[in-house]
Order: sequence, then C-alpha cells, then structure tokens
Amino acid sequence: MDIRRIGINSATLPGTLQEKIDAALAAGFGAVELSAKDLLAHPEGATVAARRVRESSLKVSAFQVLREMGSNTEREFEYRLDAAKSILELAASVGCRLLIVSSSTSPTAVADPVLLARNLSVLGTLATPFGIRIGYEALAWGRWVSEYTDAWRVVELANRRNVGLVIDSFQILMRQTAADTLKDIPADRIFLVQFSDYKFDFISEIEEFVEVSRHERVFPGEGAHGQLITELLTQLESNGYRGDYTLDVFSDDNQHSQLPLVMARAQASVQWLAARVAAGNT
Amino acid sequence: MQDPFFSTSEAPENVLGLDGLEFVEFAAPDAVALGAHFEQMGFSAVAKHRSKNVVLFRQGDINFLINADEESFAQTFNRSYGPGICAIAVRVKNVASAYKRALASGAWDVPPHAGAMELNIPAIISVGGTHIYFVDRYGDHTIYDVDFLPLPQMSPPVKPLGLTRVEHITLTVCAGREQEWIEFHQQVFGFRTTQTTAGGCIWMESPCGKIRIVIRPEADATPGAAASEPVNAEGIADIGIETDALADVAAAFRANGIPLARDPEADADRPGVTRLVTAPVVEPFYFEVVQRPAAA
Repeated sequence: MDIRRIGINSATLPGTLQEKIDAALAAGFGAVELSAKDLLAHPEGATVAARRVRESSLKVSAFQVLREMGSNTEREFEYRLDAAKSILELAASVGCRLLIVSSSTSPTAVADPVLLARNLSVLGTLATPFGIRIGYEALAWGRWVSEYTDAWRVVELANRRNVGLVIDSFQILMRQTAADTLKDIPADRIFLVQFSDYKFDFISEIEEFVEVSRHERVFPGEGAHGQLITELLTQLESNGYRGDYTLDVFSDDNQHSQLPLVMARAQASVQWLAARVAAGNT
Repeated sequence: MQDPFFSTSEAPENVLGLDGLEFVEFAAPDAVALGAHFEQMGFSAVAKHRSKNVVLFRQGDINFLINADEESFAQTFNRSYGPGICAIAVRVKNVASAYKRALASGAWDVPPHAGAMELNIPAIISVGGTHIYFVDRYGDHTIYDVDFLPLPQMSPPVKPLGLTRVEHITLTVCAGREQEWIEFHQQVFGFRTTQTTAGGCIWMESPCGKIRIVIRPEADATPGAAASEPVNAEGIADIGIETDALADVAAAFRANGIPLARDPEADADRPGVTRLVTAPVVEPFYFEVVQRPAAA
C-alpha cells in the first residue's frame, strides 16, 4: 500500500494550523483532514488560512463536518441549507473535494430513511458546482443512523454519484458492527476511511461513546482492537478500496503533548497500518 | 403495484413549470465585433437596455443578449473565465414558486442586483459558474418591455437567414463529472436523459420538451488537480440553432463571409439530423446549425 494514501486529521495534533501543516509535511504526510474551525479560528482570518493551506501543497482529503440535514420543518431545512452552503464554500476554499456529513444525534432527528436520502441528494446537488462529494458517516451515538450499515442504506436510497460513505473504525468498534458486511458495499461508494482505536475492551453506555470519542482515542496500533482494525483494513483493500485513509485521533493526551511527540506516534501508526496490509498480502 | 401508464420515469413531472428557453447571454470583451457577427448570421439588434450596456439581438424565436456592462455578471465572468456564454434564461410558468423549488432542491441562488425600476430576474448557478435565469414574462408581455428600449431598424434591415430557435445547448464538463451534472439537471429541473452517444456525450431533454442540453465530458479537465478547479474548466461550449433549410443557411453564411468549420453533413449521433458548424469569427464563439427531420 502507498502510505501517502494515509493522511492525518488536524484535530489529532496540538498547535496552530501552520505548525500542523509544517509538521505534517516534515513527517511525510501528503494529505490532511481539516475542520471549519481550522480556518475560522485562524488569527489572520479564514481567507489567509485557506491560502496557507493551498500554498502548502498538502492535499485536503476531507472537510469536517456538517451535521445531517434531517429536519421536521421548512424553516429548519432552510437554516440547515445555509449552514451547508457556508461549509461547502470553506471546503472549496482549500481545494477540498469531500465534505463529511455526520448522522444526527439530536433527540428530534428524522427517522425516515427516504427523507434522509432526499436530504443527502439535495446536498449532492449543492456540492456539484464545486466538484465536492458528500461523505455520509454514522456516529455510534446517532439517534437513528448509528452504524455504517444504516448509513449505507440511506446512501443507496439517495442514489447519487457524488454521495457516498465515510467509514470510521472507531464508530464500528464502538457498535461492534460486523466488518464483513463491508464486502457488500462497492469500493467506489466509500469516499474515506478514518482510523483510530481506544484502550478499553468494551464500552456499553452511549454517553461513554461520546466521551471516549472526543477525548480518549488512540492511534491504530496503540489500542485494544488492533486485530479488528487489521481485519477492517485488509477487507477494504481486498475489496478494491483505493481511496484515502486518515488518522482521526481526538485525544486530550494528544492536545496536551508536544507536537513532535504526537507526530512520532502518528508516523509509527502509519508504519503499523502499512505492515498490516503487507502481512495480509503475503 | 405501480401502474405502468403513470410511471414517472417515462414522463418526468415538470416540477418547475418549465416552458422553453428565453434568451442566451454572451460575455464578450468586444461587443461591437460580436454584434456585427450576429448580424452576419441574420440577427437584428432590436432593443437596448435602459441603463446598462446590453443589446438584444433577435431572429425567429431566438434572443441573444450581448452584455458589455462593466458592472455586470457577464463582465465579471469575462474577467474570471474569459469570454464565453455566461448565462441562459428559462421560461417558467411562475418565477416565485419555480425559484423557491429550485433552491430547495439544492441550487445556489445568485444575489440579485437590479437597478431602479428594473426587473429583478432571479438566477441560479450552473456549470462552470454560468447562470440560469428564471423568467415568467414571455409571450405578449416580455421582460424586454420593462427593461429595454426598442432600437430603430437598420437601413437596409438585416435579412433573417431562417434560424428559428435554439435547438440545444452544449455543456462542457470535466471528464468523470458527467453523471454528477446529469443528476443535477434531473434533480433541479426534471431533465431526463434521452441518448448517450458513442463519443460519451449525454443528451438530456427538459420535461416541457423544449430545451435540450448536451453534457460533453472533456478529457483534459481533470477534477482534483489543484490547478484545474471544475468551475474554471467547465462551462457552456456552444449553442445549436435550428433551421428548416440548412443548405440555404450554409449558402447565406458563405455569402456573408462566415467560414464553416464543417460543411452541412449528417449528424453521426442523431439519425436524420443534418448540421453545419461555423468557425469562430469572434473568439471563442462558434455555432452549430441543425436541421431536424420533418415531423411525420
């Protein structure tokens, strides 16, 4: 596997946007995943931030994150459309071609898969002039869509070329979703695969999903589920997936460490993933 | 079970109330040269905008606008992407409801900028940053009645050459993006695919049956390359104009000094259709003229 396919999420790293860009380049990463906050919180403003990213030669493999458009009223839908336009413009400003849309965690979330699919289709239309694709991701604590199998059902219903799936190992591990169902999903309908792990064998409470997800993730190779991540990776590769991977490791420990130390662990994780693929091919 | 006679895949619902094409807008740095070329093709300058440097040329049911107004979208388009066709206008039964519906299906609105006493013509963004205007004043009362002043007829008047209507509009899209643009036109307008040619062009038709577009993938505009944003590479390539007498048009074009890139010939993709293609007189504009088989 070409390790340049593995990028890193800026939220994984401590420091300023410029420090993260420089460190990612120095560590040999070709791609980063950014969030709207990376640009909007930049001290010189979003336009300057976007220019820095473009000048860096790093590819922005994905942009975080729009919450699902699910809505019960026309007013809410129009409000969500405006939010979608705003984040699409930010993604376009850094040349990013993939916007991640996460499943709704709201207690009022829409349960109707046909309506959710219709909303994804609207996003697909909105993203078309920019050449941006929409990647739908199930959060483990999503109200109705909480596993990639649910998300795939909605994506299939949407039936749009530029609407596909984002797979996150962390969400799969939380829900203990079977990875072998992945082989039923055409490889080109998966737009991004995010990798992270955690240190506990098992988490039972949804409230804890959120806590661990936001604060206690670890790099692949460091956690308790290396075997499952390996199976996921080899399954995807053998199915013909040739898209991007990113390391998505939201962790308080990372945020409170020196950037070079976190980056060294990220590099070790890339080597670990590449070795798993190599071992699977022998 | 679904009744096959009411299958929506055969006759898509005309959700926007589309009713044909109103005008095509050209962004040209040299409006005088393009206007002279239109006259060579048998168009007459019939009206001028009250406050802007915009002239309406007409022949048959074809309205071409040349927009040379410095403050206009056309000239912004010209500066950003170079000269080209920057907009089309579609006729709809009711602008307010059609526009609302288009935006709710994921089209981007264009911020309005009408002057005092001028119509505000709403528009959405389409291929390559081009605009699609929505117009519901056509027929007896037109948008030109409000915004334009009639021009005196030339002496001698320009002789029409038998061009009757816009037969199709060709859109250039990045290779690999054709399916996305097919779905865009399906979702926003209810267009349906009528044909995919051997060369990979996709013909689509509006639910009113009066507007045809051709989606043409261009191999050299690859999405993803940093230097090649889709919005810069894509756009409206050309307009196909219909006539009932192609041989006469070819003769008249030659007599008027318009070089032909392709003499009248059978259209390889559409049985029964003959066509010619002009060479650009004012870069980059060229035109296709087609004659369709007589209706049985």
